[in-house]
Amino acid sequence: MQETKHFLFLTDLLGRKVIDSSTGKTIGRVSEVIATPKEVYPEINRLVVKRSWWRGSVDINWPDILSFDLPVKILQTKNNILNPAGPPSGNGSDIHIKENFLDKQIVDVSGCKVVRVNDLHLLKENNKIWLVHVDVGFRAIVRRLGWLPWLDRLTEWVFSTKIRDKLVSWKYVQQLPSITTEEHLGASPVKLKSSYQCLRDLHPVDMADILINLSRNERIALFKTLNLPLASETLCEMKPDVQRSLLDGLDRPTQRMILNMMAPDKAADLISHYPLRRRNETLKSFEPAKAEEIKNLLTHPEETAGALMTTKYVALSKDLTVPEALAEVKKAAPAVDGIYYIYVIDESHALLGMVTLRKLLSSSDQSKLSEIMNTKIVKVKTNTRERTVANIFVKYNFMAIPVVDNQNKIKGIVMFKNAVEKVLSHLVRED
Amino acid sequence: MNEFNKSNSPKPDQKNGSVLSSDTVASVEAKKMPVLGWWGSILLFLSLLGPGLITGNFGNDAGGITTYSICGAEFGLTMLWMVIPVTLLLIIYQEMSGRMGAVTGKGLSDLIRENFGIKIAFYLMIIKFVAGIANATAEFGGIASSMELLGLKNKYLTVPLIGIIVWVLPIKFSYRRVEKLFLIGILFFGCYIVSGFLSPVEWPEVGRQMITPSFHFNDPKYLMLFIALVGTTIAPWMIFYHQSAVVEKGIKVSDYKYFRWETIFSGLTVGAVIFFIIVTSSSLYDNKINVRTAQEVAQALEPLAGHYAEILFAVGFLIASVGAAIILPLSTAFSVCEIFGWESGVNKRFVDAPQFYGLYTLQLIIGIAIILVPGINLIAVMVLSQVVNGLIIPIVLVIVIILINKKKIMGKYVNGPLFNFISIAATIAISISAVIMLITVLREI
Repeated sequence: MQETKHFLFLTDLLGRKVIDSSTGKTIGRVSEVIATPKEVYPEINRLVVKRSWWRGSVDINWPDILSFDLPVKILQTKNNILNPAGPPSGNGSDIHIKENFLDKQIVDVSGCKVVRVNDLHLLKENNKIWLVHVDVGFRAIVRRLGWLPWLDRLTEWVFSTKIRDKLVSWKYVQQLPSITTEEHLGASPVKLKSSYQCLRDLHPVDMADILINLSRNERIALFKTLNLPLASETLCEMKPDVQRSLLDGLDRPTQRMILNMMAPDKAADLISHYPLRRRNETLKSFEPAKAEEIKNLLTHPEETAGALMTTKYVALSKDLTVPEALAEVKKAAPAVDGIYYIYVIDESHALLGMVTLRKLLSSSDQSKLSEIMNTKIVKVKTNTRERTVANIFVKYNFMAIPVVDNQNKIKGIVMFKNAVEKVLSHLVRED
Repeated sequence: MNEFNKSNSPKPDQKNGSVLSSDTVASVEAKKMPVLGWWGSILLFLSLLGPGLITGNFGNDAGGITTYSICGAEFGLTMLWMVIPVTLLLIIYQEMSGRMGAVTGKGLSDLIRENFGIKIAFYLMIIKFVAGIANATAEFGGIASSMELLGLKNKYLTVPLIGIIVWVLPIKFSYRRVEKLFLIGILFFGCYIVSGFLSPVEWPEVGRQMITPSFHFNDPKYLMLFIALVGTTIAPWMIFYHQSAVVEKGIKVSDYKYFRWETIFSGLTVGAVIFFIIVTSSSLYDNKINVRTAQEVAQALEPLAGHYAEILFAVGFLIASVGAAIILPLSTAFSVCEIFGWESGVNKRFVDAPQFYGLYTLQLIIGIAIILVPGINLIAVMVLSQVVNGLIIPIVLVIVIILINKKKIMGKYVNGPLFNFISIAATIAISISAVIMLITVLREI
């Protein structure tokens, strides 16, 4: 038997007349195409044919459709398919292709973008038919408007080329949760998490990008489907007002879990907007050490170095020798933000100087930190304005700046990226 | 509890190393008080103030002001009765588009595309683009007229020059600032209210005309002004713009009952502006002044500003026109790009959003070109552009009514019977008037 493979579009099928081949009578027109998910590509199993507005629709199984040639003009059915057995019972995993995808937005996981589906691309192999691509290109729009021959003639004449279809493989298509109203949003746990598997591998930055481009309800619904680590990392990448609106869409326990996973400085930023009682409740649910740290950060007014700093840094006693110091650094390494600068302190935690990791590695084993440290260090106080901090970074090219209190005790460090983020977000917000 | 209220006032410190100390006593971040009762409601209302007020008053652009003025100048107080129904309709439609925005979190273009498919969406966008060009033309008409009043008579020089400024402003500056500039321009038209009280208006007569509907079926001028008045107050772009503004502001359904008051409040301010412009301009009718240029339109402000009426009018008119010449074409470009899924936004670079900037530029260029036609009557152009809006608005209204009644989209926030009755009746009335107008005008020709 000769194998025939053809591509066709969903809109080639929609609206086509369906004729009963035994009687020659028109049954109706195709109004929906339904597929069942298979391993990779969903297979189309039936058509919904709208007969007329008073007689409603009828489902016709795909195997009952006689083979047809392309381009599709008319679909014919095998004999006696309109028996009164009724429509085949659909199960929950059915994909209503038109209803769920045509003209809707999806996430193109390969390009990390939110795109609108202009058409769907089907593969017809003998008498089976599969959903293989979505078309997100301009050509699909023109085709559906019926102007494709004109467009092709025009572009061929002007640029001597045709505009190509922009297809995204079904493998990379992620449907958005079909939530439109707020009431639905609160009511149901959106969908099985497994169906959002392919979003799991996205980088949090890409995920944040995708979420930003969705409408509020969709954003919250999709965010709910993420696993906690990805959710908290994604949240860190967003602007404060979006962060707040996303968190508000979740229930309190989930909010707390996500906040608990975030870096303390980011969590503190968010918590600082809570009313006092809610703050305390939230903090209570954290592990004590983290709660203490966040409380500490919260005591510093916004837009100062104190609110900007992280408390995950390495500070070692001036009396340690180089090998001892290296061992300490190694022990601390997994938990700290800035590992390159090692701060040297005395018994009262007062900041004496700083050693870079390079210096530490290249010094002789006998020397003590107090001998090799650099004492000319630039530091800021907890109440220094964040703009000033950013200016220092610009001036000195540091990766981090230590923050001290009035007694010169080290309280934390401001990382370069945090300072830049904060100041940049101010610039952007003015727009 | 006091943990969070501790203020860390800096002590006089020993300056060691290169510590950068700031001397400002930083106050602990103000805690957000829980919103309570009457006062809280007012605060919330104020925080929601914006989308309706901005959108509604953008309707008072060059086309709007001119249309209202001509209504007064041509027909005296006889068109005054329209203020009430038009304001009511504006409130109803802004409420509906705002509700759609709050419930779905999506813009109107998105909803149209997802629920009507590409074909209807596409042809609607073509119509919307035509309206966009009409509006751009009206704004440049306003720019040309106000420059004339300010003594710069050469429109071939002034209009392209300001056209370039208009084109560059939103790209080089921020869109929000343009919006604010525009609102300042609109404040100028508060002058009409003062002028209204200063001029010898017979208030009992005004009151009587407010509640006496009149309709001249066979007067094409009256019919055209009727449609223009509707089209400029409830312009197609406004419905799109308002919904987007609500979405962007992140207004949620739970805030919506407060948000309704914002809609009503802003609708009433628009109604007041229309009312006072018609009332003050009716003095032109009483004095048998035949309005052919903006110079005559400006005379309505004479009771307030005397000889300076023209300058006052020209400055306000110019700012409002420049603002609208930016915002209206931009909003059209946004909608079209949203339908096709093209990149859009003034923060994008030209190469990243070529369609967006292309559409924006095209509207400006066509608008300018029409105004530069030698000997064109600017007042007529400005009113006609609003007639175009008035002919298009029934289509948009029908779409809004269909969308807002879909349970799938709106859930329990679908329209109630009263809203449906009023909006459907009004849409039918506007459509019939539009058809009558078209027939009458075509017969005249």
